[in-house]
Amino acid sequence: MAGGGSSVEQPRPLPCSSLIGGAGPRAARLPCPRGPARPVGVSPEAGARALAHVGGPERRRGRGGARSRNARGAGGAGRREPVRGRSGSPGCVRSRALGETGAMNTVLSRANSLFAFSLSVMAALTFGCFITTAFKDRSVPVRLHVSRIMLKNVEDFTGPRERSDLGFITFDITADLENIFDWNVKQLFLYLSAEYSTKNNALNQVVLWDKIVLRGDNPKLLLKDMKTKYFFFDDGNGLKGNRNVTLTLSWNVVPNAGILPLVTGSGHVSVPFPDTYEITKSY
Amino acid sequence: MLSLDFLDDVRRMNKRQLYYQVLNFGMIVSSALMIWKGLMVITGSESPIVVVLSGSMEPAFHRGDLLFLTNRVEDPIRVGEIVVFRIEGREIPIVHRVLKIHEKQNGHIKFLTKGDNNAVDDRGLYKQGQHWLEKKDVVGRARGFYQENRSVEDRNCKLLICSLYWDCDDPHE
Repeated sequence: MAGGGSSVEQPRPLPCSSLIGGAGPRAARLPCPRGPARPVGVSPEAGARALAHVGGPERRRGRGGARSRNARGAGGAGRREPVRGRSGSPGCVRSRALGETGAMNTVLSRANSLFAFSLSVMAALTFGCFITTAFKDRSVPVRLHVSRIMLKNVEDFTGPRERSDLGFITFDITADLENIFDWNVKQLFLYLSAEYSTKNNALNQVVLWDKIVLRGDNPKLLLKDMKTKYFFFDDGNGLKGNRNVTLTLSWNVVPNAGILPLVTGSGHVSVPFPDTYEITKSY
Repeated sequence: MLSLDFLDDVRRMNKRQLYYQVLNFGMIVSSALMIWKGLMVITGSESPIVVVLSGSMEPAFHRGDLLFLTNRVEDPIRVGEIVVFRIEGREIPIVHRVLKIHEKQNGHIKFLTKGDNNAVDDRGLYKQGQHWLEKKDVVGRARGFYQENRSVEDRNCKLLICSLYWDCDDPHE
């Protein structure tokens, strides 16, 4: 029996047998012919047991035929046997490349490698994008001008006191942002902020107005007589008579990939607030 | 079918190889954990990489984009910065921009935030009676950004993340 078995299983690549009974990816690993391939490192008794276990060639059920049979045979002989059996039998299992067993697997493997390659290319491109613009200076000169300043004292529910100072400012901005935009800048978030200090708080910063400039929008800013978008509330009554309120235009550079820096434009203007409150309803 | 084949593989290994495989697996898992914890220490933030969940910071950040955060103590919070903060009583952190800060002499700071795509500031999102945020609410400051592919990620991300957190359809977030 053993002799008969071994004469059958001399490893010869048989193209058709792999398609029989195999389904999907399992088919790729069913290269061996009907009889079981005798693993190299297994004792003859185990081999005989394996062959007897297999019986006739019709036993294959479309699973990993040779491999699982070998496993059972090897398992019977002794579990310590190294797994040389599978790879040892030449030509039976591993040499059957995926490409040979059907058009489906070829397409899949090609799509797989294409996908992996494109992913790595994209990753390299993204990193290149980041590293080439990481250390650029993104500051440009800005001209600010304030035309009207008014101060009111109104009720404020956000603080512990009854009334807080509320400032109204009308301003102009002139800036040319063209040099900031490059291949890695998706948009600029501009914001006009007022910075000052009061008796209550050592540092106050309030954003009065902001704007989003996308890549492709007109990069030259020529804004006149703009009103503030957000209320200029102080946390207290510190705006009255405050001469040192500084307005600056800054921007947040949003890249396609990489660092998000905050850059301040060079050019600021001081806003001296009046000493009295405005009580008329006008603005 | 597949499981039986895997078991055969395992059965064929001797004890040493089995232990080796288990150790290998353990090494991989602990390496990943070490890298994550190391990032947490370096950045000082409890969550160094976050995913943007909502559209309130468009067009800068869309759903599915990655943000890299740092939270070092010596970096003061200033207006215009993008902060990720957590409101008491809600577990999902929010990514918005700082609108106003008031800092006292001793370093105690209170600030207000607003999403770029929202019309109003975040006071409506804070806890009842809370008007300002403080440093302890901050998870981190956004320092780096990586955008995901827009077409498929939007939908997939929303499906996946909304299945993990029930209340992610909050319009303000």
